[in-house]
Amino acid sequence: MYPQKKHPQQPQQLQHPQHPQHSQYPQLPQQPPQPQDDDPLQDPLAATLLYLSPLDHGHLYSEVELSRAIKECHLSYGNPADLGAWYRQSLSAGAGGTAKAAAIVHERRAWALRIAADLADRHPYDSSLPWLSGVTLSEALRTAGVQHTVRGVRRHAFLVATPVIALYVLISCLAEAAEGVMARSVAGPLNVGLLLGVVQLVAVAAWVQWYGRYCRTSVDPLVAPGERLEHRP
Amino acid sequence: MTRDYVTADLPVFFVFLVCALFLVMWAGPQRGTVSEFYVSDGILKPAHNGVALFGDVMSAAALLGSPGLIALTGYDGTLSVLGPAVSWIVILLLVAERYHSTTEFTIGDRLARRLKSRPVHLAAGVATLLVCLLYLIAQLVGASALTVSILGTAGEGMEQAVSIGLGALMITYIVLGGMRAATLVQTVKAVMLVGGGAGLAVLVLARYDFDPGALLSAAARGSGHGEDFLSPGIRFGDAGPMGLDSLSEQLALLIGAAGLPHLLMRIGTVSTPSGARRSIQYAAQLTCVFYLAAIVLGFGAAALVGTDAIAANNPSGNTAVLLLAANLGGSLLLTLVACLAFATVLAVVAGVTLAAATSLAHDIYGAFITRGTVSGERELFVARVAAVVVGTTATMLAVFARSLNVSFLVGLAFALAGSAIVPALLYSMFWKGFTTRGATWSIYGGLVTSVVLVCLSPQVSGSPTALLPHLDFAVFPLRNPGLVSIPAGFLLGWLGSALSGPAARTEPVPIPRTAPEGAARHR
Repeated sequence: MYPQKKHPQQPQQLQHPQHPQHSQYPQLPQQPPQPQDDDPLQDPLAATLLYLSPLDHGHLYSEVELSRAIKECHLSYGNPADLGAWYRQSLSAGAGGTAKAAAIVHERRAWALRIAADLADRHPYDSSLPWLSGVTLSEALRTAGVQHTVRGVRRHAFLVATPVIALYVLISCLAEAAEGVMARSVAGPLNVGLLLGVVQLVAVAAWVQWYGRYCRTSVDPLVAPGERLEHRP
Repeated sequence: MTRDYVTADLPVFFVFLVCALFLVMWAGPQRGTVSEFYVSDGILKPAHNGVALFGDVMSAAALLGSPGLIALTGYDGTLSVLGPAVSWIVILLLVAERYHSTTEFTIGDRLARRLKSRPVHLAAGVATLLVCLLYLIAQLVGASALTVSILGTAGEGMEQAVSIGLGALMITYIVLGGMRAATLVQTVKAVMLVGGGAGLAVLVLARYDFDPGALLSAAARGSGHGEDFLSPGIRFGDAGPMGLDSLSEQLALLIGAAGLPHLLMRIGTVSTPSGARRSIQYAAQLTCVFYLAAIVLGFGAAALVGTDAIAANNPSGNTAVLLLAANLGGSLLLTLVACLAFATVLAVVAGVTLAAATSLAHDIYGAFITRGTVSGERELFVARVAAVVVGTTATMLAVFARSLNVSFLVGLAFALAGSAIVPALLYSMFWKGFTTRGATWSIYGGLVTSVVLVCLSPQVSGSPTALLPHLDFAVFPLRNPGLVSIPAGFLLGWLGSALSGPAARTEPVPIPRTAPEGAARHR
């Protein structure tokens, strides 16, 4: 699993990103942002991408390297919903683990927030690099059309189910209206109708399999234990 | 024709099976609480529950009816197995996790979370009882029809005996063990069903050197229809109104499955919503595998036995699998498959009886009559009495209703569930503006619409195969009311809520009724 390998086991705190020898980092942000454990969705998108990127938060990187890492991470995740899911899962994995793991997660998040704020401070209006401006993760999710994240991922499951159900409707309608099409031979005695029937059964099984995995990786991490729909009595 | 094959093994096998089930049931400890009786304390493993859920869905109609229909009508029969498979998607997407996380035992509990407790518990209880009774009668009538075809004309008197015997067996079973017993018998039956179905399918394919093409060609030859057997049009002949009728039936099967009380009840037997999701996944995968096997069995029966021989033995094709088993493996295999069929009926009947008894004791007695003040011990006692009452009623009705067509009864049960239970369930889970009036309107309205439409349909009067062949008041052309009654249920639910006005919507959420021992559930 890609994001779970993100935390270097031995973080080095010897060097600081704002070390004088890197003259391209002349300014400190006015207020170094601190991780807010309550809502990771308010973190800048760039910080999220940095957190999930393969960079080592103990090292120093040039601006070009940081930009490239952010861009590649952005491309590799693609869907902001997946990004948010992984981010929250990764954070909660740290919170639920040992004290050492929690410390590493906290440190890495602080590093990501600091670098992101620094980059955003120097490129406030660069629309060609939207991930460098102050866009937060929740804003990115919203611009991607994901209003409420859980609802968005659930809607995606509906969309994937649509072709399977549409195939069922198609089979029913063709069997009523276009018997000639269904009787057309595909291979020997196997005709279109029988083939579609078998495809339908296999498609249902495949969708169910996919849905199980999708829920585990995309829906469950978003639904924190405290915000389940309603609780049992 | 099968008469020559049947041996005395059948009763021996069946008695052995029943005794084994009773023995295993008594092996574990029992606490004697309503939660244990209704949902096994909600501590089943998802995989175990999924297998049992698969067993709940696979009634005798699926084991015997689907392959039979395929053997008789070829391609048109295969359509009948697609709907139940696709309906799992509907259940997974819309119902599974939400229903699990928001209900205690019954559909009434789910509705009463946001709405007034007494009216919705009564409405949900009435709908649940009606659906369950219809489903029970269908299973018992099917079992007695099966007896006749296995034992031949000599079994004519056996019919009622089998109905009553199975009824008594299931009552004992449920009264003694509740959900634990139902789960156990479903699991055993589901494993037997998948194993038996897949085994028979492999035997059929082995006859044709594992070449599906050869099997299909032989089926087309054996059917007497030639290549037409593999393409649409045999079942309904000319299209026209039959096209709409088939659409209505498929809609009822697709939507109604999400409202069957015994399926919904089984969702509550695991501890977490994701567990409910996983058990439905297992059930759906098993369903797809079994239906693939059922298609092979249907075409195999047409190829090896011949459609004419099947139709001569039973006009609705219900004995096709039995004839196929006799053809493949002689007397022993026939006995095993017949035993499997009876176990299937017994298991489904047990599950449905439990759902009906739960609804009667929990919704109608507990929440409506005593307003939720009843103690756990008393409700458990009432639930056991309710199982006896429901079982006895269904058995008596099944003895009198044995001339009814099984698929008609099952279709009607699905249509009732789809038009009375599903609209209220979905509205209550997805629409904040749903009100108590909307719930009662959609449940009672859906029930009344379906029943009235069935009474006015060609199933009851005006055709030679109808219930009252010499009368004719069939003004509604469709045999299955689903196409009209399901939209009617949704429309009435919306209308009732809209007419309640905004004041009714802001009523405080009532505290859900909790049995005194409810806190002891392992949630």
